[in-house]
Order: sequence, then structure tokens, then C-alpha cells
Amino acid sequence: MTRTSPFDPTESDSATHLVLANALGERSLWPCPVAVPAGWAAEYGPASYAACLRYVESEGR
Amino acid sequence: MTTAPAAVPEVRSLPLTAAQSGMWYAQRLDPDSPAQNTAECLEIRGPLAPVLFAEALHRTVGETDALRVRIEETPDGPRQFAIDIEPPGHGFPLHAADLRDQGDPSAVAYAWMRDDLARPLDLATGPLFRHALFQVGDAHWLWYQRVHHIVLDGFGYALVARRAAEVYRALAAGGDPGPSPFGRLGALVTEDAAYRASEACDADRAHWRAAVADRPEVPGLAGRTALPQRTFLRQTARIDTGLTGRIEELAGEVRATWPEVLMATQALYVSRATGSFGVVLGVPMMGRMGSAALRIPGMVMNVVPLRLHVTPATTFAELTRQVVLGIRAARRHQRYRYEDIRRDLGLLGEGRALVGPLVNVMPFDYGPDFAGAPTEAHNLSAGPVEDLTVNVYDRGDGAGLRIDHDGNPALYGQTELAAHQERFLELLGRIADSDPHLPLAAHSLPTAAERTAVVEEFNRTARPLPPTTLIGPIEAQAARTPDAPALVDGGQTLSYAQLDGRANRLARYLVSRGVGPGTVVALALPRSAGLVVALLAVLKAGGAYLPLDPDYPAQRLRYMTEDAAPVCAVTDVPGRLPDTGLPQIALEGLDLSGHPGLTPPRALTPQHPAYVIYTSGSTGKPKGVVVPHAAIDNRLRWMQDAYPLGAGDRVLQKTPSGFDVSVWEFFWPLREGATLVLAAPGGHKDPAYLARLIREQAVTTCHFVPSMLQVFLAEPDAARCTGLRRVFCSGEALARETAQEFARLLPDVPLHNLYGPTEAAVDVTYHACRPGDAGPVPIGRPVWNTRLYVLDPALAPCPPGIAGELYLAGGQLATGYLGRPALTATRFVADLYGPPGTRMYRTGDLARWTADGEIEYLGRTDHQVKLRGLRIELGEIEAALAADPAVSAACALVREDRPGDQRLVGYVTAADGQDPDPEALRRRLATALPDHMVPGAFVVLDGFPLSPNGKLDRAALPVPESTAGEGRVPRSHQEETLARLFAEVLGLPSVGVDDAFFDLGGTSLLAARLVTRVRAALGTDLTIGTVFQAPTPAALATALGAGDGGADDALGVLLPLRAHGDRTPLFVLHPAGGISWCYSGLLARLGPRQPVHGLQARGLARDEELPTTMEEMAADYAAQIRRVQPDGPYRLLGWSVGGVLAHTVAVLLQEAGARVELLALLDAYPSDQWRDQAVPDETDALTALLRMAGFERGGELTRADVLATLQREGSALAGLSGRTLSAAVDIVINNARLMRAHDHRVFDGDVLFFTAAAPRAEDWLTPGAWQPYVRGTLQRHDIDCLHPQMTQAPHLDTIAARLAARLEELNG
Amino acid sequence: MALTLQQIRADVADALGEDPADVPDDENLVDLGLDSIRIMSLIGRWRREHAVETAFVDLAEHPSIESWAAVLGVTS
Repeated sequence: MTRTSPFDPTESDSATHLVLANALGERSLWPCPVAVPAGWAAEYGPASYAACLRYVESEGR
Repeated sequence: MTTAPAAVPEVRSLPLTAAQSGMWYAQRLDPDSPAQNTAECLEIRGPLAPVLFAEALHRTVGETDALRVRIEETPDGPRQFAIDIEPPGHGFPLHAADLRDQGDPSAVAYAWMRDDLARPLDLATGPLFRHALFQVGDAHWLWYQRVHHIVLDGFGYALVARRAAEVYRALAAGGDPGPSPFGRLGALVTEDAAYRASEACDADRAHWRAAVADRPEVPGLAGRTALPQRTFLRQTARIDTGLTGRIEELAGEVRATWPEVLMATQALYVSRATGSFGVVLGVPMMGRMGSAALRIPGMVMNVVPLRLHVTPATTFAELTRQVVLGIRAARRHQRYRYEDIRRDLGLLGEGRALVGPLVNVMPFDYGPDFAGAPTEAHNLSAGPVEDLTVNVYDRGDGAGLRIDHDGNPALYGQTELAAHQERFLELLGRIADSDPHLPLAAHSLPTAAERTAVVEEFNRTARPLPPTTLIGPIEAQAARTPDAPALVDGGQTLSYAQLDGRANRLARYLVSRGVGPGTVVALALPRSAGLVVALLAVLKAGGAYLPLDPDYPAQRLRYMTEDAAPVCAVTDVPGRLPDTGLPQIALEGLDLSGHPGLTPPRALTPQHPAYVIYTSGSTGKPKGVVVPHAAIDNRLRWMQDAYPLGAGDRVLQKTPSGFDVSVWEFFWPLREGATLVLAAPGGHKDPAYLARLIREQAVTTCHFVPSMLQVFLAEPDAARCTGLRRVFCSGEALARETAQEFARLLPDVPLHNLYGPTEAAVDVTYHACRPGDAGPVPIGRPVWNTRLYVLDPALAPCPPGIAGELYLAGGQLATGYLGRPALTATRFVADLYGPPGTRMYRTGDLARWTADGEIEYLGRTDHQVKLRGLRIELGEIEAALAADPAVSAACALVREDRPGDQRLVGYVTAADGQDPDPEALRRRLATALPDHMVPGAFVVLDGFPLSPNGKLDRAALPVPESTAGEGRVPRSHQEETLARLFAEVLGLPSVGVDDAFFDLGGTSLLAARLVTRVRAALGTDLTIGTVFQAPTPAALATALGAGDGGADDALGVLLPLRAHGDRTPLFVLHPAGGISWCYSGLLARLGPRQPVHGLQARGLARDEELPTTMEEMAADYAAQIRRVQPDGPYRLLGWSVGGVLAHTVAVLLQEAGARVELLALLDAYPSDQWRDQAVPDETDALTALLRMAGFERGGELTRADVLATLQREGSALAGLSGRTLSAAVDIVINNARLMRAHDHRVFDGDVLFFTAAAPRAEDWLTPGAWQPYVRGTLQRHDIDCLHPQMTQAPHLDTIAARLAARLEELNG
Repeated sequence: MALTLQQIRADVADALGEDPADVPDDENLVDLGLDSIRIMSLIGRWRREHAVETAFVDLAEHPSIESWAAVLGVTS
């Protein structure tokens, strides 16, 4: 049986995710309801999953 | 004192209510089970007159119809019959005892009660209740009531107890208890019947049908269901008044009641413990509001399903709101029975649950008052427990709430139950103290102690290490022990100094070509010393290596090289990789003498990438994992500490370089002064070879993927590999049976189970297998500087024993996916539990902690699979299938329809107006995907099966059918038997009488088996040749019936392997021994439309003159070919000598003016390559014969020896007569002589060349030698095998796939 | 302080999380979410605050405000 993960793609347009960044410039997708870990800060969002991916794609190149 | 009133008029007989029927059928499942008892113990403190008490009970029973029945099956169904209850002193079921003289009167009383509770009541005779009164102190009494649940529920209990107290008080005061306050049982039955006939019932049924129409998954804490047992386990705790108060406050704040808060908490608990957003609780309801049943003791209660949706973003207030509204809606339709909902849904037979845990809250109501003496009620049993019931009692006694976790012992142990309860209560406490408007993500399941264990204690792996790279320690080791053996490759040994020197020279050359830190170099070499030199050279130059398997389809190689953008590629020979504009450096013939053998300078840091390995990608394209030096250095340092290697150790390198297990095989020994022993390319698949190599080379350390270990252990020589000092398994789940078998065969060799994805430098956990251990083999504890987390869907830690998703953190994480920032951001995420700013990698594996800090692997959470250790994203296969224009949608699956037989199956639906052809799909996928990712079977469906909620139901995808089994019915016993034998030998469910053996995947080897089976089954004699001549059950039956058991035509010059088909025939020419049976394995792959004819040597079937020149032989064959196919274009293929013949025949046909559109050579080399070799003698001929059968010669010295070997190995050639075998030996010698004498002319066209690329003794053979005799190009495919293995599975299969693709192009 | 009809309506509405204006006197309170817990808590409240004693069964038999008023001996 498959389980859904908070990092799985969602088709919804709701603002469910954030993009976090740390001091090294590494980026992480993040689900909104979960507290942001120490050493990371929200760089983008809350936004839809797809929008967050698009952001990382454009910033990461 | 008044006299006892006359007995209340009898009930006579009544049907059961629906509630009672439910209980009746439940009891029938296990008639001797006492589980359907309910029991309470009321503690009375004060004066009590036992005789009066008995009288009060008797009167009350007299007023309670429900307690005076027995229940029995009748032709009209089960009915309840009135019975008489004897008065006290004459058999009234009240056991009275004064226990004041006992040491511990209460204990004795409770022991009696437990004993009584274990005895079932006989429904057919009754009475269905029992009471007991124990005096345990001067003013201390215990009143035990036990009633079968079929007649009374909890509310009924309370009615009876209160009335008994009322009657007692009246009697004690010398007064009249008054008329019975109870209604008649008959009224309950009538009301129930009226309901079931009413529109309200129809409406209720419809409501519930709609409410659970999608048949939701009902997660339970045990992960499975079971029938209620005869006993149950109970864990009791108290919720103190402080917490109770806070819960009530919270309830007020969210506008609910405290039971609803408890239910919401339980829903949260179940959701996190099962990883499921959808939760279904069971809520018992008394069912008596607004009903006459309020005054009639009986069995009325019902359980309603409560569906809740719990996500990390939901707040507690929202969840409670769901509970409130859900119960409100359910209550309106609560009269419709739980058992009926289950039956309507068809769940009864399936062991599927309708609800998960029950939450049963019993509010306080004043206890019965026995003449002023306070009472305290204790529940002893609330009835059968299907899964888990949480019973909560408010006794209003100022001691808070009592909470019982009752569990089905078939699903829970006592410790487990206690853990669930402890966690639930701590969670409740945290919720009571938190803001209910926060997302539930803030909450987690573990107790404080559990959380410390799983986050910190189990992860204490910090270990400071020097900042070295993968290559630094290897160079340091070379300086320390320059003369020690570093590398063994076949007959060749290189010392550390030699290896280091060669690698340095190549490294300097690579530096001059632009390789340096941060650059990537692709490597495409077969396993060899050259590969190791190249690996070291790239690292020495500071670059990262990217291993490429040259057997991958050209399209895939092109993609990988474009994606990774290496500065160059290193190969062994030119043309190894397709031309992509990438500079290719071939080691063959490369002159490095101008470069010094000293370590080149480089600005390499541990943060630079060490290697890039591609893994399957779920969206259709593979992705490159970039692993930095620091990560792999950590891994190798840990490994050396855990399993110290010394100078005497010899590590086997057998894993292909494209799989990261190979990393420690290559580099670990070289860092520690041990020796690296290379297996032959392709040898890693041959267990007999491995066993021999391990022994001959004194290997001490090696790795197996668990499924390959199983195969290895089945090899007789495996048990002789006692020189091994350690064996590692990784890549798949290791079955306990395999570990036990290993311990049995090699009891003194430690076996270690390791786990880790490519994204975390090979392995992150380890576990030493211990004989005598049972259960699943854990993947173990974390390695150095590594942390493991098992997280629930809100990324909160799971307590030990609860499954969650495994996340990895620490120093072994890869940098990320090459060129995929978005994908990297979704898999390498922020670490919630590590130092600030660190990351964790989400594995997608389901796992759980054991109580002592090891991880157990439980499966995947997605559609990634491992097939024989190879990682496959089903999505990648699906994307490739869906790319076909004939396909509308696709789905891929690994099926295990026969235990142990896993296969990959592709399912497609057709695009509009299209008719996808499975063969065409296979060929298309073979051009895009590596062989291990091409499904073995394809199924075209009209539509995909859907589950009730509209999603693809993978479990309902059909078993692929073979087209075998259709066709007409067998006409005779012989046909039928033969069809069955075909099916058995081919491993198919059935075979039709007109299905051809080789079309269904039969090979010469299987044909030999068939012959044996037929001989045994039908007593008739036949040879393999017969099978070739008559390949269907029908034809074979005819041939056998005709008494024609032998068929020498199978040895004729022209052998129709497949005579029918509308494509241009393929002619295959015999190898050295003159027999073309070895090509039969091509037939299945090439498809039923492709005719295949074999040319065989003269002299096999009968005594004939052998040809004196190759030209003469070729002309003979050309003539034979023209008899079958008068005009071109022609298609020719030959293995070994057959290839040389094919070239010669092709030239002849061209010279005669015909066109040859395909010339395929299987490891064949022109005469000039053989001229200087001695003509084979008898021994050589025997070798050649064995090779033709696919074996290397062992000790066989005579023709009889060879025959014996062939028979023992089950070779098809074992069916040859002695005369034929002799002729074959002569033919081998003759052919060898003719070939040396031959002069080739030029063939005008391209050649498709398959090389047996494994290292061999005749290392001068090169396909390039054909250049003078071929005017076109030589298209090379290297097959990872030795020459004799080319016509065996799986190598022939690989060749056939390429051949099929080429033929398809020619077919147009 | 004596129990009034208005008080009954207010307390019932409070227990159900509704506005008193949304609870008609003849409405079946079960439909609005009345359960045994809520009845018990009302019984307790009326005992504490108005010294009125009722039995669960008496209220559960006809769960509407107007019936309860009768049972509780309240006229206005």
C-alpha cells in the first residue's frame, strides 16, 4: 500500500508548501503545517507545490 | 412485610431483535467461547442483609423479562423462550460466600469471578446470567453480576442494578417496592420489528450505504484484522482530576464535550500510527433516546462508524468539529445495525473491517444506593473485542476517569497495549495544554522517553574524522606497501606501485585533457585491470567518475552523457560508446610513456564530487546522484573500523561499476593494503564460476545481493568457500531463510546485512546476522556520523514499533541530483532533528525502530521496486510505454504469481483506433531502457481496473496470459498428455495442441527435458530431432503414433527450425560441431512471423563425404538456401565457424548477383586470425563439441566422457547417438582445417557483430580483423560472456533482442 | 434561583453549541446533537445551580425543550 508523503506532488492550487533555504544556499521544499527547522528560513511561499518547484527550478540554475 | 408478588406473566416465545440476532450469529462462530459475557462488580461499603439482598435480586429478575429467557434455533430462526428462575434457596443463580476468614478475601472473590467469566453460558438452557455476593469485610461487600451480552447491554445493566437497589431499600425499610418500572421485552421486540419495516429504516440503510460507498481502507493499530478471541487483554490507567479538568476546559473552548475530545485524540493517534489520513472509529451508541427502550432492560446498543480526515494541517479544533458533526449525523441513523452495514457492503467474508478502534465513553450516573451505603462499580468485561476498544468511565467518585485499553490478544501483546495507552495519555496531556487552533503537525506520538531514544540515543554516531578524500588514503597506502599485491585480474597481478604508477600516468594525461576537481569523466570499460586504472586515474586527476554500462541502449547512453556533460569518456577500445561528440579516450594503444608515474597535483577537497551514478527516474528519465569525497570517505573509514581488512585479505570485485556497491569493492581494499580480485566480466552471474574463483583466489571478502546469494547457496561448491571471512548483503531485503541457509552451509563465516540508497554513499545501516535469530532480518543501526529517522506523515518521529517513512541524515548524504535542483529540493529536505541548517534524505522506504535501536525494513511507500537488487522506478517504464503513439495509458508492475518468480509486466490501454502490439512495445522499450527494465510480458487492456474511489487498482490487474492454451481441444489422450508436458516443461499454465514449443520460449535445453518427460510419461522413444520436426503437441502425437520415434531429419543439411512465417527467412549456419540446434533459443524472441532455417554439416545423419574446401561447403549451403528462398534479399547469421561460413556464403550469393541485407556474426573471426594456430586434434575437437553445447571442457578425455557430460548436464546434444557424436568430432576437425586454408573475399555491406567480450585465452582475436573483407561498417555489440555461452540464455536473448530490432528495421 | 423556560432553552443551546433562537421548543434535540453526555451535564448543572433533581430516563424519553419543561415542573 502506498503512503502519501508531505513532499509528494499535489495537484491542488492551494498554498500548501514553502521553499526553505539555508546559509549554504541549499534549498528544500517544505510542507506548511510543519515548523521550519533551525538554520533554515522560508525563501518563497506559502504557495502551491507546483509553484514552489518552478521557483526552485528557476533559482537553482 | 408483603409477600412476593405472583410471577409476572410469561413471555412464552419471541423472535430476537436485530441487535440480539447480531450477537447470536457472533456466538455461533465459536459456541464455546465465553467472550460474549459482560460483567460488573459493584463494591458496597456499609451494612447489607444478604437474605434481603437475595430477595431483592429475585424480585428484580422477576420484573426483567430479558433475564428470564433461553435462546434456541427453530425452523423460523432463533427465538427466545421464557424460563422460570428458581427463588433463592431453590437454585437462584446467586452464589453467596463469606470470605472474611480468607487471607485476602478480595483476591479470592476476584479469582472466583475470573473463573466464572471463563465459563461459557449455554444459550439453549439458560439462565443467561449469574450473580455472586461476597462478604470481604464487616461492612464491605462485592456484588458480581455477569450477563450474556445477547440479553443485556450496559444501559440495561444500570437499569437492573438501580431497580435492585430500590427494591432492597424498600424491603429493608419494611415497605413496598412498588410496581415494576420496566416495560415488557415484547415491546422491545415489537418496536424493533416496526423499525425494520419502516421507511426510516430504508432511509437509514441508504444513508450508511452512501457513507461508506467507497469502501474505505480502515487502518487498525495492528495492521491486520482477526476474529475476536475467547479472552481479551486489558490495560487500565487513570486520568487524574487535574488532567480531566483541563480536558473539560479544552472541550468547552472548542464547543464539544470531553468524550468528543477523547475521540478526536484517538483519531489523531490512529492516523499517525498508521500513516493514513482517513480514519474510521467505531462509536458505541446506546440507541434508546426517545424510545420505550429507556425503561426496558435488553440488548439495544449499536456501533456506528465515524469517518474522520486527519491531516497535519488540520487543527485540533477542526478535528473535534468533525467528531461533533459526524456523531450528530450518525446519531440520526444509529438504529441501523453495524452488522447489517457490514453485510450490505459485502465485508463479512473478507476479514475486512468496517471500523478501526472503538471509543466507548460511559458518563457518570448515580450509582445504585443500597440503604445509604456508597457503591463503586468496576467493569470486568465489556464483551468481545475485535480489535481495540478504549473504554472510558466517569464514576463521579472524585478519582478522575478510568481508562481501559482492551485489545484482541490475536493482534496485541500486553506490552504493546500498555505502550499504546501510555502514549495516548501523554498525547492527551499535551493536547490539553496546547492551543487547539494550531495545526496538528505540532503533535507527535512518542512518549518523552521514546522520543529521546529514537531521535538521540539510537543516533549517537558522531565520530570526528580527518578530512580525507577517496583517493588520498589509496595513494598513502601505495607509498607504504609498494610491492604488495594490489590487483589480480585473471592471470595478471599488479603491485600497489605498478597500479599506482599506471594510474598516475593516465591521470596526468587526463589532466592535460581538462579533467580536474568538479569535472566528470565517463567510464565505459568491461571489468578489467584497465577499469581499475581508469577509476583511480580519474580520481587522481581530481575528477568524478561516471560509470556507463556499454550494454545500455544507445539512446540511454546518449542521454546520460548529454545530461552529465563529462569532459571526456575513457573506454577500453574505440567504438565502445556511440558517437555523441564526446571525446573518447581508448586505452587500447594509448601511449602514456610521456607522462611521469608520479601523483599529479590537484586542488581536490573532500567536498568535491567523487562519483556520479545514475538511478532510475520515476518521471521517465534517469537521474545522476553526485556523491562527494567526504561522504564516501566516511563510509569506507567506518567499514574498516567495523570489519578490519589486513594485508592478507582479498576482496572480490564482481558488482558492475554502475551500482554503488562496487565502490567499496574497488576502493576499500586499496586503502588498507589488501588485494582486489577481479571476477571475469559477466562472471558475477555464474555461481559455479564464483565459487571456483573464491576458492582458487582465496577471496576473504565479498558481496551478494540477497537473491543472488540464494542462487549461490544452491550451488554445490558454495559450502566449500570456507576461506571467506566476511560476506555482505545489500540491495534488497534479506530473507531470514537465506540467512539461515547461509549459516547452515558456511557456519564460520559472518554474514552482514547492510542497507542504503545511492543517495547516501552506499550504505547507512548495518546488522550482523546471528544464527538462532528469528523474524525479519533488520537492516540495523546507523554507521558513523549518520542519523536515521522514522517519521510519520507530519514529519514527527514514530515511536519504536510504529511504521513510518525512513529519512537519513549526516555526513554521507550526496550533494544532490545532477542538474535537477527541483527534484533535489523535494528529496533532500531540511533536517528537523539535526544541527541547524543540515539536510535529511527521504528514502521512500517504510521502516520502524525496534525497542533496542535497530531498524526493520517494511517495504516501499511508492512505486519504486528492486528486481534482483536492481533499482527500478516503475514510473520510468510507464513513461517509456506511454510515449508509444499506439498507447493511451500505461502501468508497470512487478508480479510474483509463483512464489520466488518475480517478473516485470507492462499494462497498456490502446490509443484511439490503435492496436498496440506487445512485440513492438518490447522492441521500442529495448531501445530506450536497459535490459533489466524491459518487462517480460505485456498486456493490452480495454481499460484499467478502478477501485471504488476512482483510482487505479493495481491489485486487480490481470495475470498476463500466454497466448498458449487457446485453440482446439485435444483429440486424444496422447495430445492431451503432450500438451500438459509442454506446459510443465515451459512453466506455463497451459499449452494448446497447436502451439509450437519454441514459439513459447522453449530452448534446446528444455527440449531435452521434454524428451525425458515424454519418454517417462508415454513410454515412447523420441529424440530432440522429433521435437524440431514436430514442435506442437498435435504434430508430436501424430509423429509418435506413426511409430516414428526417431527423426534423423533433425540432422539433415537443412533444418527448418521454424518453417512458417511471412517475413524474409533468416538462415543460421552451424558452429564447429556442425549442428544448428543451438539457435533454437532465437525463435521466441524473433516472433512467430519470422522463419528460421538452419544449415548443418554433411555427415551427421549418414555417412557422407566431407567437403574439402570451405568454398565447396559454402556453395553447398548457398544452394540449399536457394531451394528454400530462390531470390534475395538474404539474411544470414553464424556463430563461431558458422560466422565465417556465413560471410563466405554471403560473398557467394552476392557474386551470383543476389542481395544480402543482413549478415550477423556471433564472435566469428576470419581465417587469418587462425592460420597460425595449430590444427585442432581430438582433444580440441572434444573441447569444441562441449563448447557447442555451452560448456568448457573439464576433465573429459574421450568421446564417451563428452557424451557422459552432455547427458549429465541435460544437454540436447545428449540425445545424439554415438555414431553422430563421432561424426561431429570429425566434422570439427575438418572444419578447423578448412578454415585455416581459406582465403576470404570481400563482402559488400554492413556486418552486425556480437563479441563475446569476457576476457579469454585467445586474446588476439579482434573484430577489426574483418575490415579487409567487409566493405561496409562493423556494428559492434559486446556481450558480457565467454564464447561458449553466446547461444545460451540470457546472452542469446540479448542478441536476439538486438537482432529483432534490426530485422524490424529491414521489414520496414 | 428557580429554573425558567428561558434558562432551559439557554442551557440546552449552550450544550449544543447553538444560538437559543435556533432551537425551537418542539425540536427533537437529538437531531441537534443531544447525546447522553450532554444530558448528564445538564442534569448536573441544574442540580448545582437550581437544586433541581431529574433522572436521565425522564429527560431522554422525550428530548425536546417543551417536554423537559413539563418534566422539570417549569411553566415559563
